[in-house]
Formats: sequence, C-alpha cells, structure tokens
Amino acid sequence: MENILEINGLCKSYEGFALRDVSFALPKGYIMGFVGQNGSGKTTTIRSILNMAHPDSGKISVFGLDSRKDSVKIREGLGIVFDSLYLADHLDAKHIEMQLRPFYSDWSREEFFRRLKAFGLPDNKPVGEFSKGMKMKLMIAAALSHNARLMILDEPTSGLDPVARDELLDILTEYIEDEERSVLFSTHITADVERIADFITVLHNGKVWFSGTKDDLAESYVVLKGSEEDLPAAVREKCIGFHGYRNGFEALLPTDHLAGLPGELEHEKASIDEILVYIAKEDKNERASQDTAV
Amino acid sequence: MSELRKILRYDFISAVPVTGTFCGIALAVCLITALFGVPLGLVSFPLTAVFFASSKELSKSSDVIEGVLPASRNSFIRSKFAELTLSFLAGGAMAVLFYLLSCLKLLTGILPEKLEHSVRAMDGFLDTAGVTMPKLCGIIVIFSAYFCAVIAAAIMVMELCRHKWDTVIMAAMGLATLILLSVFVDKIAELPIRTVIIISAAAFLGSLMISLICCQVTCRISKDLEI
Repeated sequence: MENILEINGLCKSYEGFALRDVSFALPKGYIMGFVGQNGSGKTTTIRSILNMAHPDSGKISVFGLDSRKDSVKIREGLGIVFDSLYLADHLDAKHIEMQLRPFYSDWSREEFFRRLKAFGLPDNKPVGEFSKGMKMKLMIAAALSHNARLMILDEPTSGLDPVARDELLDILTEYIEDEERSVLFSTHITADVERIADFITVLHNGKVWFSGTKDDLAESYVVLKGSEEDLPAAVREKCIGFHGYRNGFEALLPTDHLAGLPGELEHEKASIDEILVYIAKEDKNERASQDTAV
Repeated sequence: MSELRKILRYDFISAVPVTGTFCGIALAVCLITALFGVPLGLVSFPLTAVFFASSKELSKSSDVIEGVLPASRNSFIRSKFAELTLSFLAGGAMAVLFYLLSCLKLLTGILPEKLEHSVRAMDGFLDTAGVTMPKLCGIIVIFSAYFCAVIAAAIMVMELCRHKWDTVIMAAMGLATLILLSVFVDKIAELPIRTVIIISAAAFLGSLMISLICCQVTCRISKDLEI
C-alpha cells in the first residue's frame, strides 16, 4: 500500500505539553480516524503536518514530500477543514470562490458551484451567516474543487447536529471512493470513527497508543468484568483502567492475555469509546498510586 | 500569477464589498471636485488608509488561512507591507495629483458665478493662515509617509512578538505620533515651501525604504516562527 501521509518520530514540546515520538502512516484510499481526549495532541499533530507548528524532531511526509521544505506544494493537494471557518465570513460563496481560485492550479469553478448546489449552500449569502454544518460543507466544497488528494479534518463534527454529522460522514465516504484520495479525521466523537474509518490512530498524552486498522483495534482489546477474587494477579497487572467496585470490577484487557482466564470472568468486545475511557482511567489509577507512594 | 499577487487579490476581494464602494465613491467625488477647482482630494490619504486597514482585517477569520492556502509565509508577510506601502503612499500621491488638478480649475468656469467666486476665494484662505496649498500638499505627503513608516515598523514588531503586545505597541505608536505631530505642525508653517517639498520627497522615499527594510527583517525572522 502506498502511503499518502507518513509521520515518523514526531516530537514537539510546548510548556506543559509534549508530543512524544508520534509515528503513523495513512495509506492511499483510506480514512483514518485520529482519536484521543481533548489535549492529547491531535491538533498539534495536524498543525505540524500543515507546517503551522514546527516539530522539534521527526519527519512528516505528505505525498512523498517533506512537510517543512515542500509545504506550499503539499498544501496545493490538501483539503483542510477546521472546526471553525477560516475564510472571510462577510463574503458570499461567489467571492470566496474568486479568492481561492488563483491559488490552485487544478481549481474547477464548475465543480465548486456544482458542489454548492449539491450541498444546498446559497452562493449569495455571507458565509458567516451559515450554520456550522454549512460552513463545514463549504470548506469541503473548496477542497473538492481543487481535487485535493488528502483531506484533513480537525474536529469537524463537534457541535454538528446528528443529521449534519451523518451528511458529512457520507461525503467523506464518497470522497475516497476512487481509492486515490485519503482522509485524516481528528475527533473525540468515536461513533463517527467507528462508522467510516478504516484505520485508527489513538493519541494519548502526546503519544501514539494505537495505530492500525479499525478491525485490529476491535480485536485487540476486550472489556473484562467479574469478581476481583477470580482475577489472577498476573492478569490484573495487564489490565488497563482497572476499576473495582463493591460487587466486582471492570477493566480493559489486551486479547493476548485472554488465554487461561477463569470461566467466571466475562469479557466482551471493547468499543473505541470504551478504550478511550479505560485509557483515561488507567492514567487516573497511575496518578492515584503515585500519590499513595508519596 | 505570483503568490504575492494572489494574496493581494485575495485581500482586495475581501475589502471591496465593505469599504471599496465607499472609498471608490469618495475618490470619484475628490476627482470631480478637483475638476471644479476644489482641492477636496487632500483627504484621499485617509481614504486609502481605511481601505488598507479593512483589506487585511477582513480577509480572514484567523491566521489559520496562512497555514491553509498554498503560498509561502514570506509571501503573506510581503503582502502586508505591500498593501501598507501602496495604500499610504498612493494616498499621499493622489492627494498631490488631485491638488494639481484642482489648480487647473478645468471646470470652474461652468459653475454659477457665486460658487465660482467662493472656489477662487478658497485659494487665499489658507494663505492668510500661513499655510499655502502647496505646503499643505507637502504636509499631507509627509503625514502619509510618516504613517507608512511607523505602521511598517509596528507590523514588524507585532509579527515578531506574535501579536502578544499589539495594544501596547499601538498605544505607544499613537502617543509618539501625537508628540511628534504637535511639534512638527508648529514648525512646518514657518518653513519655506522649498524645504517642505524637499522634506516631503525625502519622507516619501524614506518611508519606502523603511517599509522595505521592515519587510525583509520580518520575513527573515518569522520564517522560523509558528502560525
């Protein structure tokens, strides 16, 4: 598989936050869900891809080009959707089209207005008056009009109503149909990722916790439940986000450790949402044990 | 089309719907009145300044656009200085042109007698105050050049400080301007016209140079700064 985006050993530190050795790759023709809690480093990674943030170390390559040296060339092939509109919001879509056209050699005016029509966007109303969903669609229409090969979306569905979210996900699925284009889709709404993503990268505290196919992730972890007394100590150590309560416990367990578990313990497939929750709980547990040690 | 031209076009399209019509009509009025001998065009400098301010402010919702559009960081910075220099110096130059045009009084003759008399009386009005029209033109060119240079320096400092001290910088700039102008306006009336013309030409060229230097410094330093 040819990778459209490759990140290797990306490190970037700010005061109170650091991205540490972030590495993952997105193959051509697929959608990658980029998930993690707020503050896990998703936006910093995206800003680094766009050369808006400068990595301390590591290498980012998009379309086989270096993100620092060839950022202008890279941006010509990117479609970017942020959670808020970055275009002049007092202008209507016609003027926006006039502004953007010269920047892209592949720009198609017909495609832009065809998309506007298809998305039900008026071209004579200031885009600042658009709803959030309409603004997303406008940014997507712009991306599709210059034949972007990689669409990067940073939290596009947060704040969207369910219908608009559904529409957006359909558009993204349609976008990659020709198998030449890819989508990197950052979100903390994991239901969206479960619906459309082929690959998932989970970022936690500035580090990649998992990166692979959605199926691999689903098969790699289970939610384990039962009585604490039935849980062998060796397995207890492997549990992630262990949460004990009066009548038993719940924890996330890598499937590698399922063999030989007592039959009294129940386990079921973990959803992405559950995985994120248990990772966060593990953090909490670690902090609590550090506090106890102190 | 070069990156710089694309960005200038981008900003121009942003500004036209908001201030373009107003500035366009105002400049047309300046031109028409100049034909009748009324030097109203002396106000063209603040008009172009308004257009400049609006073009950059309205062109985007945030700096993110610099990370989205396929153009280099340096081109975005150069566009800021190019717009500043063009609008301020063009404003100053237009003021002079409109003044010269008004001196020709091309259409004054077709005005009703009373109005024509008033227009001609205007020439002597400022003379009695010690500020002749040519001198006023020179002052306006000096003003526009001064503002161009000061704002270029302010843009440079604001870019390099990552817009953290914008209010302080603007306030300091405003204060310095007030002090300088209060001193300058007192002195200017006493200067001979030839000196005023020399100062205004020097100020015009000087502000061009300052803007160019500020632009180069900002480009060089900010290439390593994040958006």
